[in-house]
Amino acid sequence: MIEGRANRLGNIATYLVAIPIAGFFLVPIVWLVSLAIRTPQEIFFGASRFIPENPTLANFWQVLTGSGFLTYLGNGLKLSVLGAFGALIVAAPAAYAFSRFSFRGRGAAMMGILAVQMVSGLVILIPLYRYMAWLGLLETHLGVTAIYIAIGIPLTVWLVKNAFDAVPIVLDEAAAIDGYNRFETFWRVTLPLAAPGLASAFILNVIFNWSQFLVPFIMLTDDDQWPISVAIYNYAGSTTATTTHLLAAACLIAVVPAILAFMLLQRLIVSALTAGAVKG
Amino acid sequence: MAPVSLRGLGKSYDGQEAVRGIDLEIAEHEFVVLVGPSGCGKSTTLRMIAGLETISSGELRIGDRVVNALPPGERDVAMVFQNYALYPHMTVGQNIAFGLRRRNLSRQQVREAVADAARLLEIEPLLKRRPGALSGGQRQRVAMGRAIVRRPKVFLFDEPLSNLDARLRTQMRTEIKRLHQEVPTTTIYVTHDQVEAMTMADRVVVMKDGAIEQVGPPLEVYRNPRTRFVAEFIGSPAMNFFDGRLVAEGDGLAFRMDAGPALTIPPERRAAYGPIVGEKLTLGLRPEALAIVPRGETPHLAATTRLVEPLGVETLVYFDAPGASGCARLSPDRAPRAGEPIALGLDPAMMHLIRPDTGAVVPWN
Repeated sequence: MIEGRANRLGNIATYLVAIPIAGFFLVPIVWLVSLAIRTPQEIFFGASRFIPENPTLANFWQVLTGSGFLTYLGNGLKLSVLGAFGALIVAAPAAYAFSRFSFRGRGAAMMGILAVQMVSGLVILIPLYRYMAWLGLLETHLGVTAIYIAIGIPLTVWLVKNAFDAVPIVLDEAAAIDGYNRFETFWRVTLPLAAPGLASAFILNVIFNWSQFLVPFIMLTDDDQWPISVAIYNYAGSTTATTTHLLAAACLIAVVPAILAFMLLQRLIVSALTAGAVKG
Repeated sequence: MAPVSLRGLGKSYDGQEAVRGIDLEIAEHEFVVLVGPSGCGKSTTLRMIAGLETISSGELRIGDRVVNALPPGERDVAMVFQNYALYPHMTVGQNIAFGLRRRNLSRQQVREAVADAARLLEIEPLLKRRPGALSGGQRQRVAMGRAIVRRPKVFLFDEPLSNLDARLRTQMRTEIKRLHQEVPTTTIYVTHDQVEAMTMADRVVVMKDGAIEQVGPPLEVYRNPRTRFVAEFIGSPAMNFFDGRLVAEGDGLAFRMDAGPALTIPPERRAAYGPIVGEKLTLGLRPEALAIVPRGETPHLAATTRLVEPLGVETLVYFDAPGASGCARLSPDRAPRAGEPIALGLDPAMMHLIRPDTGAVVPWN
């Protein structure tokens, strides 16, 4: 009985905390939805007419068909996926080494990687811009992808190391006795078994890259190259007419894929993030 | 199939010696069991033979090759792990075939070899399943299938039965033994279970603190343990020990326990024990060396029954005597009940005398 009651109190406390947090994030999105389905006239009612009298999907249609919006979506997707893929390819060998080899300074190196993660992108943006200019990678997707990869590596190394750690070493040993060398073992045993962890690291990277704004904003000036995040920003500033309803629709289209991806895969992602946290 | 030879094999971690000076010649086809308590170095020794641990000192030969520096895959050994180590993302068939695919065999040959192994282990219906869908015993068989399919020179078993329940363990024990009779490959088997060691081994290697304590056929080790450790470790229930002193008695010798009772030394041992008369020693007697004495005869020990364990064919009686306690293996129809007095006679022919300082059993034959 006492336990049940403590449980219920715990639940109440959880909701007391969770509801304001959810509200904090949900209200803007709901507001966005409200704006996105209004006609231009109804925009001026502001919050007083939260649910529009003449809801319309025309704004979405207009955004999707007009002004290169699909190109921006495509650019965003391309940069996100390439960046995530690259991060995974670069991080996997490092993660494998951290997971399987014992060497001097392993712990320090792991912490060092984490320390890199803590440096704000803002701080390094100007030097980064100069390096990219020097490398001739400004105005290229290659340059942006490279930066995405660099930004993604620390977290990816940690996630993938956890995924490799979860594959028992005795399987490596069994494969060694079966006559496979280390790389073959990695390729045929460790990697396939760590696939769920790798997949969630990949998806997380895609979501992070999708929401990147500053890097493409600084590196890309040609609007054919923009990902959706930059395009929306410029869209908002480029017209004098009332375009709030279109902007809202564009924002929703940009945000929804990331939210959907996260909601559909949250179990996978959460388990990857907390893997190894409670080692049985 | 090949002999295995360990010469002065040692392993140290950061200056700490985990295994030292292992000398062991294992003949072709022989089934050798390394047995000892946890931490005695038996698994480390096995892993050095497998190539999973580097060898710090000494020489390891498989067949006529020194294999110290060879990676596991080139030593032509197969290993069965304690937790089976099956590849969870492959079917049973793929698991068994995995080691063969390395060896330039045709698909047809691989398929036949897998089918043969599956038949031998009676796991044919499981070939398409994944390890996750198998019971512990089935996994064990698959792990063995993966080992035998390659026809390696040496089989290595690392506590393969310790994750199974008691009944399955007994069953698999017989099965591994049968398998060894059908495919007589040189086998090195590690266990902490002395019953497994006794029942399966051609020769038992008892290890303690990283070194070999005694090597010999199971019954030889059982009957003539060379140290108190071996005497205590091999055999269940463990040997009884009574402290006392060797004394001259008439023209013979006797062992006088500190608690009073004395046991006459058999004549054939007098010569061997002569030089140690007067020394403090420990008498070791296995539970079967104790028996209830017939009415009218003088017992060696007048004891009280503390606990009775009927096992069917025999009954174990744990007793307390003044200054000593122990266990006797008695016939069920003669066993007392708990709390009853019991008059025990000791069989001097089965005695061992142990030096308390070194733990060495005094040899007599």
